[in-house]
Amino acid sequence: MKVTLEQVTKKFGKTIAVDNMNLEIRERDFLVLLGPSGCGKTTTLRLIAGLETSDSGNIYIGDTLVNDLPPKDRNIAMVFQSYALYPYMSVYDNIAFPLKIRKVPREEIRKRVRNIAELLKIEELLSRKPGQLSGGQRQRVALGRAMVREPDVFLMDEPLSNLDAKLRIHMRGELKKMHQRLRTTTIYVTHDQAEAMSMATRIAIMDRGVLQQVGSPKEVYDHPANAFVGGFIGSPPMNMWEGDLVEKNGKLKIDTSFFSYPLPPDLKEIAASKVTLGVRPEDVTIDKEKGSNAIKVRIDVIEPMGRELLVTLVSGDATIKMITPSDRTFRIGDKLKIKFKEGKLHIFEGKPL
Amino acid sequence: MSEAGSRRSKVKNYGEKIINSDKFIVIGINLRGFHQFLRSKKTLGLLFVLPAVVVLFLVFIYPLIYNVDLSFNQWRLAIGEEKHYVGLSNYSYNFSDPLFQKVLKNTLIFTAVSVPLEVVIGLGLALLISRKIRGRSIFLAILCLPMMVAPVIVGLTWRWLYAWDYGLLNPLIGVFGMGPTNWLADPSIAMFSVIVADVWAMAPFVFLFCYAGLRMVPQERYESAEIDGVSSWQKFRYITLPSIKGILVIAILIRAMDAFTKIFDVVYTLTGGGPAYATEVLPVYTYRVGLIFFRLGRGASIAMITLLVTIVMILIIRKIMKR
Ligand SMILES: Nc1ncnc2c1ncn2[C@@H]1O[C@H](COP(=O)(O)OP(=O)(O)OP(=O)(O)O)[C@@H](O)[C@H]1O
Ligand SMILES: [Mg+2]
Repeated sequence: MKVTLEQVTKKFGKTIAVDNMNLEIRERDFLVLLGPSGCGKTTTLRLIAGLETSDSGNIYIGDTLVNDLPPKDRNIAMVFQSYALYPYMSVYDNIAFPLKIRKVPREEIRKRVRNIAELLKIEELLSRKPGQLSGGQRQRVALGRAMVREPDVFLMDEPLSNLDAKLRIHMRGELKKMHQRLRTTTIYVTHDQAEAMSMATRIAIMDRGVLQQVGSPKEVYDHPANAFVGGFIGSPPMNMWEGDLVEKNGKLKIDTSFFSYPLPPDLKEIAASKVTLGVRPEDVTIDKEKGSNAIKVRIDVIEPMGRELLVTLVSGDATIKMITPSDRTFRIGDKLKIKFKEGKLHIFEGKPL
Repeated sequence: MSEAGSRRSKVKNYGEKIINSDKFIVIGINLRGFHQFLRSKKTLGLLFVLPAVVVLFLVFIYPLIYNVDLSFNQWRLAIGEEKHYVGLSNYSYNFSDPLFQKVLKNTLIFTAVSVPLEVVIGLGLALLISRKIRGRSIFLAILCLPMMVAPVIVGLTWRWLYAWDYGLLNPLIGVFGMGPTNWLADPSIAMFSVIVADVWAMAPFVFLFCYAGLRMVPQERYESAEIDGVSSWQKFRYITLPSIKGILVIAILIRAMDAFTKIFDVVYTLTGGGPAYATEVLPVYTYRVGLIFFRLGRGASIAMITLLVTIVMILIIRKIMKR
């Protein structure tokens, strides 16, 4: 089932939590809503669930306008960040609860809960209370409760954020597998860009209530729409410098206060003259030729990251992060010349963040 | 082994250094022993609870034991009698005494009616107030007011409200065409009047407990259920009630104990136990027998019976609420 948001706005007093949002979540998408804390991700999710009502705009689930539909009639299921399990009920009763409320026959309930438990590998936990489970097990029970009703859309609000790092990565894989199996449209909220990149079929990035970009993980990584997206996605973050676009003898270049760098001609369409140049650390390379383009730098910090090195370079007051294979030996204080990989330069209008 | 050995040799060295002053050596060794005595977890723990145990013994255990002993004796101070052992005769006298039976029954009725009423009203009010309503803090303050009034004042206030001639209640029911009622002097109504006053005073206590409990229920539980499509009744039945059950049980236990063993001021000021013992309850009766008639042995036996009934009552309530 697809989900469509049309010019949806939600205010809390003076804060605009969601600002004129247009978003289409396609059928079978695993859409990750990504953004920093307080950007309105949860609010967006709750609007879709019907737990909040929008101030303006329309929300469709499938082709049905659901603006005035109560949550129970939207056929969605939500996994809360706190799981919201009932601590006084057994795991079985927790999972069975949505069915019991909908007066599903007892035999049918038993069958479906068993199936879900098997799928999530929690069969032997069914008689326990949530308090007797580990975080990961609780997370699975919450998932089971959402899945048991076979909803049209899954809504998940940072379901992994209460787990430790190792379990989180494990559960990412599990969730992804689950989605590949059930193919249910899923909207998944997180502020962890690595989580988003690894799980999403599409990512929607928000900042301060405003949708910044929607696209596949590769699209938003390779072609960030603006400086915010460029800076938010990718770790370590993209290098960014403010500069002026200058055209001289038909050749385009950018002047920053630290260096000047030639740009490929296809970037001409940018209208503003004040721009931000963004380059990902892995797109910074060492220049071995004696070209005039090269930026002269000095090595300041070297951080080994397994197969690669994260090298912090300085040029005047500017710092540049570079990721480079660790087969070369560097020493702090070494002087180098660097350049940027062709086609990997990002020019954004306006100032960096 | 070696560690113990080295520690011993260190001590020896220490002793040698200050050997010229034998006073110090003595103190040093003693301190070390005392220090080790303290270091043992058991003794330290005991030391910490000791003051509490002493206080508890003085103000609770000792009086209790003394009371048990007293209840097996006859000691009528009013006629200057010596305390003497009479076995179980105080108890057997009580159980064959129609007045005691009446008082016990009165107290049970009082508890069985007032506590459930307080729970229903308190919980109901808490459910109402915990919704998002305007002026919640004002309602809260008003609802808590009766609890801040001393029980004696509660009794006096209601006595004034109930008064036959100058009270507020009789003119009020007169508006609805009902004749004036003898709220406190009619034996068939007096207990009802006492219960109303007590419910007025103590329902806020249950209310506060429930309100605090409701505030602590995570909102997501309701939201999750809302997505599942629960009705208001199901919300109450499957979320609210089980979520605050623990707190509710505590409130009920406290109220039941209080109603059974401590209801004194309101009854004493409102009716004095009258008319014709229609509102006489165990605490008032115990006081009357023990400290007005000065039958200390029998008073003690009544107190003991009260205690035992209370314990049974608590066990029953807990059993019911366990479900
Ligand atoms: N019930 C509310 N009343 C008032 N303001 C709210 C309410 N809920 C959210 N807000 C505000 O709306 C904005 C967006 O909140 P939201 O919870 O959607 O953020 P979020 O992206 O989920 O953040 P996080 O990653 O921290 O969960 C915030 O500024 C928040 O303070
Ligand atoms: Mg959130």
